[in-house]
Amino acid sequence: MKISRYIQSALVIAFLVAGMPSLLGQSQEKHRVRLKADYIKHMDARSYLDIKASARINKQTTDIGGIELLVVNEIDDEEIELGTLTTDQKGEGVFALDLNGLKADSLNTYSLSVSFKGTDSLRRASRTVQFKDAALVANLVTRDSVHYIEAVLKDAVTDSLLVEQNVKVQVQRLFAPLVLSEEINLTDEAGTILVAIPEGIPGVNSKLTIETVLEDSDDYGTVKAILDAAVGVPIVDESTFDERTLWAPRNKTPIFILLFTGLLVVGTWGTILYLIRILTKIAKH
Amino acid sequence: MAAIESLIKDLGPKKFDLRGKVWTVLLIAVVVAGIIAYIDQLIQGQKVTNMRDYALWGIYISNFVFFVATSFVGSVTVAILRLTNNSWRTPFVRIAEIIAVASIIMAGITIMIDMARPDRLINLFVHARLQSPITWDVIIIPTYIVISLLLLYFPLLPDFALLKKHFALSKPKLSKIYGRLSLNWSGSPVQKMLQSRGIQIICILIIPIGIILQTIDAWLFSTTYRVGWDSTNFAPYFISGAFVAGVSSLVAVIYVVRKVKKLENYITNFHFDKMGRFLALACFIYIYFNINEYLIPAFTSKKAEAVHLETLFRGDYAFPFWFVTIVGLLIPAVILLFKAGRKPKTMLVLSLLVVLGSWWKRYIIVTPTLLHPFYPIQGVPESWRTYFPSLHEWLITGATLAMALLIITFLVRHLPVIPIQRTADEQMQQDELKTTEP
Amino acid sequence: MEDSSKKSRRTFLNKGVKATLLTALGSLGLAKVASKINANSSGSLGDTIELMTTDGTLIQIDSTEVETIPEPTKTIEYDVREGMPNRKFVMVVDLAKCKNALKCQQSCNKHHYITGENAWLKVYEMQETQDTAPYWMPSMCMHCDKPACVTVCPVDATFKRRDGLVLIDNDRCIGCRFCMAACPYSTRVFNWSEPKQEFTLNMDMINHHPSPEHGGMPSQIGTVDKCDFCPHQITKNELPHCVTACPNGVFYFGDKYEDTVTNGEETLRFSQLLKDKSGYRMLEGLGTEPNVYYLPPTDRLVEFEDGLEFYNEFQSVESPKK
Repeated sequence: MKISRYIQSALVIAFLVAGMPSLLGQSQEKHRVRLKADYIKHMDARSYLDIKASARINKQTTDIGGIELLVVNEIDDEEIELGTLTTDQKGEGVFALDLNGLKADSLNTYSLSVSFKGTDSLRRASRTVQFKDAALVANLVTRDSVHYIEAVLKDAVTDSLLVEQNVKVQVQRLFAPLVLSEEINLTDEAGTILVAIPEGIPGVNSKLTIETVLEDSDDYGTVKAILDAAVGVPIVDESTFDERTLWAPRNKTPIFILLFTGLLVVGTWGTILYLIRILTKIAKH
Repeated sequence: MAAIESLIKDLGPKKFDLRGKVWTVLLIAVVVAGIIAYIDQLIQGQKVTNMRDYALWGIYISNFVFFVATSFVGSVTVAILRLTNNSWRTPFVRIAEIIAVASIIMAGITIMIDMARPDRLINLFVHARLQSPITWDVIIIPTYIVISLLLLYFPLLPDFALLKKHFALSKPKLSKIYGRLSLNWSGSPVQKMLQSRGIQIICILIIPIGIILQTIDAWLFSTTYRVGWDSTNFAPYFISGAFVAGVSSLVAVIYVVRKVKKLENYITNFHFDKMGRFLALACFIYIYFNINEYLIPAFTSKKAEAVHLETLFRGDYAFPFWFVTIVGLLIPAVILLFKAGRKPKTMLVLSLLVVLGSWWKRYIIVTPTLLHPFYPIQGVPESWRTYFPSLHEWLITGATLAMALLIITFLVRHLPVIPIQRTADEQMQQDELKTTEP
Repeated sequence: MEDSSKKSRRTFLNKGVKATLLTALGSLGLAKVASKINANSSGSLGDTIELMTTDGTLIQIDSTEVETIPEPTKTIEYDVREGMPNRKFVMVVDLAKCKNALKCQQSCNKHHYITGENAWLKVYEMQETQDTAPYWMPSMCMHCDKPACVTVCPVDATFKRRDGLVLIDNDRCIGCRFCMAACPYSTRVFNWSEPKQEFTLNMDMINHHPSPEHGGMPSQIGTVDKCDFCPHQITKNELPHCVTACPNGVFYFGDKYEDTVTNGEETLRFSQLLKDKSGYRMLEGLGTEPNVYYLPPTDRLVEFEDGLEFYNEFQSVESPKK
């Protein structure tokens, strides 16, 4: 009797212990979420936050798609809600910004936060981005029949020149841009860089789309100026797709094959039909 | 017309005796086994064969090439001998035509067995690309089937008419069939003229078509880069090989038919002597092409070629290669040079050896080349480095051969194997010549 | 007296604890049911969805966390048999960097659901002759400009596009294997039996339509398959899987008309790369005009012997885990 009672109590305690996590309302440990947010500005176009959400699940970094994030403009003690966005299947998202609608602090610095309120399996997270508005103006310059990109980098508010900043000049390409500038290409005292465009870079109709980029700077984020210049060489089409070749589809069979087989088939089967006609003639007599 | 009647008695269709029936049943059994194996291949896919990514063509393709080669006998015997006025060919021509028809039909069937997606057969016609050698094959094989059938049919017209009369009372239904097939043949001058014109046209047409058929068959291999296949020699090599395969099959079949139908009076030692010389000629021409194909590359011994030749001379395929070359070609050719070698019984043995050699020869044309590609064979199971046909492949191979023999058997059973009317005409001509002599 | 009160206390405790437990478990159960009802995922209730991460591993995510979003559409429309305009895709393989890590092969096998016994991308152990040094050579379809395989196909099942890619239409193929006989690079594989592919519900399969642009999805019995240069990646402006998977930066990929190739980290002028490192092509003498260039293994970054531990002479596709 005593033993059975002990066993009963032991069982009850065991159930409680096992059920404790369930009782606390959590089915599993929450995964840590990491938010990445970068400020990117395209000159003469738009500014935006480039956002990526990932989490550490089973010791693997995984993209988290389909979660809602809140973007807020923090100024002094105010928090102005700017809007929300949902990450795509790769965990990435783009949030457009209109600087006119944002408030900066006394140092002309904008402070934005991107936050995620968490779910049953994901922890809450947030990331703050601070940036100042910079202006990058790039131009195509030709001297001694050599083409250059000349660019000036200034603070957009104070108009002061930004020196010793690393500005890249690159050609837009399909998978990754082709960099034309040196690895370290700093703006001089006039906030200017001058990068030569090598000859012989092919582009559709000789057109090259050249990007001048201040990439990932601490104060200004990423600023990009894009311009099109007809300074490339035209693409030479090497494809035989439009020609009649041995490897073309049947609508582009080489004429020789068409004629030769056609004549052979017509000649042979014409004769065969004639022979069948002879048979019918024999039958008639 | 007693002469004709006796000819019909000797040469006309007769019912099968027990031997014939057993033979037919055996053939049907082999065919059925093959059909079962083929159905399994359709269900499970071609993994039931031992072909894999390197030995991607195997015994099915070598069977196909063999059948195409054997079908050349129609062109050679009937047409070439006719155009060269070799009158001794008369007793064989029908059997030769029958073999040609059976072979080329089986070639068409065999290649469809090798297709892994026969459910998409229609694509070969609807989406055909003329640049592809396979499309050329798709055109030439039906063409050759039709021409061979016409070559068989045209000379049969008078014989059908004779048989219709012969069976008019004893077997009226059969007589009617023969009657239909004879196309109201009455032997009138107009009909004779039409028939002879038709035969002349076919004989002239079938030679280039036969040669084109063998050539396209060779081009299936020599339009690739593969060592052992990429040879300018291949088309004439295949044509002469077809000559050998065709004539040797003809000799073997003639011997059997002669024995079974007791045609010793019509197919005499003289005929065997002539066929023996013909076969010897074929073999020597083929030996010449073999020398070009195998001996000359050894002279420069380019690396890839040397590997190929090594495989054949001393490597994995040495036994079949030397068997085919010596036992299947050289020895028969030499023996056939002697009159004693051209006796019927000897010729049966020799021709069977040559046929076997022909079949096996195509096997060593197809497989060894595939097993030494330009790139090393790596990253695949070790069994993929060799090839030996699976049970399914053997059953299907046997079935296609049995089917060919079945077609021949059927045609030999129901058609006069030696042209009756023509034989009668020739005998009459000879008699006339005798009577005019003083 | 004491006995009965003890007993009743015990009984009370027992009953009480049991009742609490039951209530707790019951309310937990109710909560779970409620959350399932409220879930707005497309998967079945309480399901987890299996997703593939960008490096090819499969993980489980609770389906409530994920919203399905349609695939981004291509920006330029083109006929699948004609290809992308103004492009000519080339690949450069740097043999000095390859140490047979085989990550390329694994990624390709995963993303194309290759389940046969022959991979589309194979890394060969090459040695021209006894005296010359051995090296590892990744090989895949060369997408030749004069493709022997396309020439011999009787039904137009394999075709050459304007952008250089040679692709296969598995709905058209009749399984004659002439293309395999014609290819001198031994790069085509055949589905001798029903492919045992398993497409779990993941991002790749949502909105997927079988197309020659995504080989192996699905593979069909009795037809041929080969490397496709991943046009399904290119349309997303992403590199083929082998290029991104390689930890040693062996593969460079790009558009020859842009004269630019990249291995994901370095982006270089294609013509300059060939000039600097003396690029060449395999079996040049055959005249196939392949579009895969090789950089010879000079100034090797890794030793050949380091790759031997991963070398399996008889296997290139991992057996499926049961």
